[in-house]
Amino acid sequence: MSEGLETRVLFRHIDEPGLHEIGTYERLGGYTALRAAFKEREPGDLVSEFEASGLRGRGGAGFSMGKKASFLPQGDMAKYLCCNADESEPGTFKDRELMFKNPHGLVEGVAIGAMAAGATRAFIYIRGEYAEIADRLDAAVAEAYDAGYLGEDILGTGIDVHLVVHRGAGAYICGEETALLDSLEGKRGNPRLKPPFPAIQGLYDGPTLINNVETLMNLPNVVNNGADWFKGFGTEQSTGTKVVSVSGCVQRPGNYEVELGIPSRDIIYGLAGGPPEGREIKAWYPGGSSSPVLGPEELDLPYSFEAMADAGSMLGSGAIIVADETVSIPKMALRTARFYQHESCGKCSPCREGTNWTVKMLERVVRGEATPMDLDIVASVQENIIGHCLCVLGDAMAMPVGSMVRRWRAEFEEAIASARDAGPAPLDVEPAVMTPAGVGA
Amino acid sequence: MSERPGDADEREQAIGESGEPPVPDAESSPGSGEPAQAGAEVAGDGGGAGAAEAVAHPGVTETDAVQIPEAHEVDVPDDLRAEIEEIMGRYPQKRSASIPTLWAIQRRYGWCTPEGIRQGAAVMGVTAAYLESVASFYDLFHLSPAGHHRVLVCTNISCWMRGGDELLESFCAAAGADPEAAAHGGAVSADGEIYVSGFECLGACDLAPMASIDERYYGPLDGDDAEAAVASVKAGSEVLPEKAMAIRPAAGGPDGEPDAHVAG
Ligand SMILES: Cc1cc2nc3c(=O)[nH]c(=O)nc-3n(C[C@H](O)[C@H](O)[C@H](O)COP(=O)(O)O)c2cc1C
Ligand code: FES
Repeated sequence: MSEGLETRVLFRHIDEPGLHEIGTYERLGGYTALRAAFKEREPGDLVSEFEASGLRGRGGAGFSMGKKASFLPQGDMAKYLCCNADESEPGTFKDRELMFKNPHGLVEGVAIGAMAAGATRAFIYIRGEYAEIADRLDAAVAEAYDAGYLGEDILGTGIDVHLVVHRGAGAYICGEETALLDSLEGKRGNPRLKPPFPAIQGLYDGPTLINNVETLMNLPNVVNNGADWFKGFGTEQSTGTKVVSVSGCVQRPGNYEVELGIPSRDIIYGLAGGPPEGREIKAWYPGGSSSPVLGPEELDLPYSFEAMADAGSMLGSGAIIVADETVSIPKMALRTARFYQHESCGKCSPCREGTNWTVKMLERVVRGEATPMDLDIVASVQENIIGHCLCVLGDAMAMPVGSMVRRWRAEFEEAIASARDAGPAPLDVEPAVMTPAGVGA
Repeated sequence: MSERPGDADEREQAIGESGEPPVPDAESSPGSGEPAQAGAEVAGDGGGAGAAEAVAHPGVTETDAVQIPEAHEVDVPDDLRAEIEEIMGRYPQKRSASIPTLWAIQRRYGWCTPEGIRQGAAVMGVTAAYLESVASFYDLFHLSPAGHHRVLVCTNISCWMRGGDELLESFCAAAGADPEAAAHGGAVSADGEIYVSGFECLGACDLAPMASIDERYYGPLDGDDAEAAVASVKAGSEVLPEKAMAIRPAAGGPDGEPDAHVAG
């Protein structure tokens, strides 16, 4: 299963022709885990196995999957499973490739997760932009119903799981789990106050398990091979493999599945080819655009939840965005901030106003209208957002932007000075752009 | 979140024609003093949220009883009604059908027309204002005419590093759309055919710089690709088959070759 630096578990058959069809999927061993889970296992014992595997959420927060499932109350009430396929964190495109090429892998994972959680209704909330992926999922769900893997009395066990693919319509905030629930209930996607947590009171006020696509796709492997096998990959606190999306200034952008804990350098250089010949890495987001930005000094850190947290950042969604020496950090900060400004749902003032302010201040920096003192204001705005809102969308801007202003402050000051000296300039002029043909040229 | 200059006027006009009372929106809601992009968005969300709250429990308040279009008053095409009813049946609570219903309306009419929204609301048993407030939250729903084809060009971090802004300009030039407007919420080409919009990360940074054309992903693209794509879209022929996301193998694996597109 190991191809050099890669360890392909979820990606084992990823480019097998026809994998998205049930016949091929079954021929390659698909749905054996579902059979075993439904026919031979008890929900409680599955949840314990998931917990023992150490599997942590792959959607951003890295919470123990089994533990979360164990929070759902026992008993005969309507419970739900929601698969978070919103995948809108900039830099992240792993769920897209997993779902498009292996939709049955997700259907099987969702069914097993639902059965373990005691949920009879499951939903895959997929971002609206992923229309061609959602079409694939719809087809796979229909095939699974026909084959008796979904629906009523699955494989004669008396257990029901109904699965609906629900398409969103373009809003990053709907990836936040409580906003996702509101959106799925047919409302505007505003986050809810927590507690109550969704495990207690979620969709339609019922206990709800929410997990990311990749998290759920790991379940069939855990069922088939056991928790100890799963723990054989990765580090003690970061078990298993991870599909890492690498993009930006690298020669081979794409998804690579690795054991958690391998050196970050191996992913960025060994697999993704590093920056174009002759250029150096200046900065990298280790876990999507919401993660505090790291520098070349951290390239040798293990790529694990704990090492990234110790370095003051996070593994997040497992998306590495690489910036080489030609990229202006102030402009990258502005690009980052604009995203959160656009996506803020506007419910909480610190986020709504803070993202807006940050964009305006960074525009002044890039235009040369700011003073170095303004950088202190940018930094303090970030501090005033963190921890003050219903959800962490605002924090997700404040962390990377704050990290950039702190770490590359000299470059921000230089940007102010040189833009001022150059006189008024249009805001969006970019210096070195890596056009596809231009990389390395 | 998809508000852009011009929306309000067109919408109000359209609403007027259909005899529906005007609905608060970004530009006309109180307190939207700031015309800037973000100001409008903030005000829009405020106004819209108010509208959403006011009708949070249809059938419960008196106003709602008045505002929910009576099924017999609204002429709903049979197949649309059947589609929406089928959608409602998928969920334990029919309100969950809002977004899929709006998709059905947009597919049918090209955008979420006031009449379409009224039809959807009548079948769902919610107010038109409720459905519109939901639609206005989501970037992919259009509350004004938006061409027959949609081009979304990603200008987020990874695409920006690889020329996403320039790609957006190329698409605008090829389609004949205003690049300024396209970069700030979207623009329809002069011939009314193609909607072009800069967009946030589309989840395909491995294809950077990339675009979604009529709901299919393509990349990495350059200016020539933009021209070719627009020509194909207009001619109704297959768009950039060799640049389609759908045919791309995973990056690594035993055949992990340097990406010819980026290793140049
Ligand atoms: C603003 C915001 C956006 C998020 N977007 C996503 C997303 O697109 N996909 C995802 O799986 N989780 C996303 N999350 C994390 C979810 O809230 C939640 O933690 C996750 O879906 C739980 O699944 P997991 O435990 O399997 O990771 C987001 C969180 C925030 C605050
Ligand atoms: S940054 Fe363009 S698709 Fe992600």
